Parts: sequence; structure tokens; C-alpha cells
Amino acid sequence: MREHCDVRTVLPQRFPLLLVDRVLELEPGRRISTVKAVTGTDACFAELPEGAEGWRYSYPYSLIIESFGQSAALLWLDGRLPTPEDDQVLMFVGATNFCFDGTAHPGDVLRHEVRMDSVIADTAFASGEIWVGDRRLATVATLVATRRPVRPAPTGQPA
Amino acid sequence: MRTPGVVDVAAPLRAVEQWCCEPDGNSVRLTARVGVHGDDPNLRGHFPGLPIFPGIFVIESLCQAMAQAFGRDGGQPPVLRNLRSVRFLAPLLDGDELTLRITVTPATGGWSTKSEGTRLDGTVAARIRADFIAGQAADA
Amino acid sequence: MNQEEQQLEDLRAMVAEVLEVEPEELSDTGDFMEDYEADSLRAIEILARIDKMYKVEIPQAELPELRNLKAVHAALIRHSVRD
Repeated sequence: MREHCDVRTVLPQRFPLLLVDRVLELEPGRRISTVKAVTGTDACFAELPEGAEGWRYSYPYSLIIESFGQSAALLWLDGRLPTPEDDQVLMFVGATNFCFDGTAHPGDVLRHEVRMDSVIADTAFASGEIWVGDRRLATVATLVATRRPVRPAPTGQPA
Repeated sequence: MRTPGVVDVAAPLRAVEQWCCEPDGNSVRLTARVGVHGDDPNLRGHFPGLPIFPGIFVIESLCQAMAQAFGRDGGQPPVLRNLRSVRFLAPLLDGDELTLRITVTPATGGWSTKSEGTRLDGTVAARIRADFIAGQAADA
Repeated sequence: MNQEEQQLEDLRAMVAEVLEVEPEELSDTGDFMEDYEADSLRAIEILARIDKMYKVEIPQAELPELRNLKAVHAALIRHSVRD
């Protein structure tokens, strides 16, 4: 599982919140390296006023966190495709010391390096870093996700 | 409660619809509210057929509330430096409303915050402790 | 301070961080859920941190017994010896 089309078959998120472009490396159960390109046509920049200064184009930290979290989800799922019997969804339930060193702007490519530290009681603990080239953007001491049963969508199909 | 003006920095959504603040000794009590709207373009993708307010949007509400209360006119808003801890405890679904109660305390170069987000039914949906720095220092 | 006492203090610092209290506030027998408002996720996180820090795996089945720092330390010792 490498390209965006593959990521789409594994993760349930869709535009504009599917925030992983490509998987660079995957050591099943251990670590994953992914990228997400920040582009001027991202939805989050659409409402900026004319003449907005450069600092207004800082890619929202909330989306950087989500992009890292989805990378951790891909690592946990190990590229397994969802099946019709799947009644569980991965949920981001917490994080500790997600620390930012700088900002990202259109033209930057976020590279997430995620390690799976442990999985206990259907709860995954990951850690890692986020890079733009050789500039470190953030460090993540802990990101926590769990598997929860989900009620079916109104159409009767799993989410 | 006050209504924010247009969102003038990159943002996935307008994550604060009303806010107010009052001093509390050395700190500030900041309250922000935002509704969960199933027809928001973001929620169509999160998830198709099952709109759930993403946990990261609670963090976005915190950031936008800090910008409203502590942003300088025409200048850079406070910048999130460290998300010390965040816990998402209950989902926010279509039709609900997030009320984020934030205690903001001055700290070196910025602010230290402690927040609790509740749903309409009073259930605590999220707890966040986060440190912010003043805007200009962001890329130092 | 002997090795066991030092290990207890290291554990106190780590558990205090998970529970978001100061190490001085975390007593040996204070109940995580009742005295420190911990939820089940925090208990699991303590297990995960022990795994990472000490490379010792405490079985999930013992989660319900890990109610305070003393019990966690005892479990750590018990499973260190076995491994």
C-alpha cells in the first residue's frame, strides 16, 4: 500500500479531511513514513482575503495533527482493507506533548515518521516526528487511538 | 457573548461562533461556543454518512478562541507551541454544540491554557492542556 | 536510596505525568480512579509507558488490580523477575 489511491481504500475519511498523500515506508506493526503536501489550493486557504500576508498561510496545526494521526491509523491498520463485516472505527482519543517547532506553508511537504510503541486493550500508542525537508516541524511524545464499535450509517452500511 | 469577525488566517472551518472572556485574578476565563453542523463541507468527509465533529476541531476552537481574545489587531494571533495533553472523551454529533471553557494564565513568552469542552447534555467531550506563544516568535 | 526505592520514585514521576499531577501529590496508596480522577484510558496508558520504559509487559488481565502506585510497582517487580 503506497499511493493515494491505496490510502483511500484503507481510510474512511474523505475530502477535505483525508490528509495522507502517500506512504513512503511501512514496517508492519513498527513504523511508517508518510507524506502530505501543503498546497495553496487546500480548502483551508480558500477564504483568505486579498493581500493576506505570508504568515496567514500557516497550515493549521489542527490539520497537521490530523494528518499525523491518520498516518498512525495506517500503521495500525497495516494496510488492511476494510471488509463489509467491519463494525469498528479507529478514533483519535488523545495525545501528550505534541510540540511544534515551526510552521508549514504552501509548497511544503509534511513528512510524518510514526512509530508504534504498543497496542494494549484495543488501544494503540504511537510517537514520532514531523519534518519538512530537513527541518523538524514537530515532535509527538504520544498519540493514542482506539478501536470502537460504530453504529451503522443511515444507509445501513458501516462507516 | 461576542461574534468573531471573518476568519482571516488559514483555517479548516469557523470553529468559534461566539466567545466571551472575563478576568479571574491572574488568569482569564475564556468561553467559546461552536455548533456541529452536519452539512459543513468538512463533515461530509468525516465521515460519509456519519458526521462526527473531529477531535482536532476542538483543538482548532481553542486556537481560534485564543486568537479572538489575545490576537493583536491586524497582527499575528497566539501560536500553539505545545499540546501538553488532550483527551477526547465523548463524540460530538450533528446538531450538538461544543462549549469550551478555557482558563488562560500568562507564561513566559505567551500563555498556558487548560480547557474543558462540553456537549449540550453537559457531558465532557474533551480536556486540553496547551501552551501558546505570542505570534511573532512562531518561526524562531 | 536502594534500587527498588529509586524504581518506585521513577515510577511515581511517570505515573504522575500520566495522571497530570505533581509527583509529590501522588501517594503510594491513593486510588487512581477515586483520588486522581483517572479513567480506564489512563490505566492503559500507564501499562503502555511501563512497556516502553522498562520493556516489561504487564498482562491486560491485571488492569483492574492496578489501582494505585504501590500495586503498579508490585506488578512491575513481579513481571520483571519472570522475564
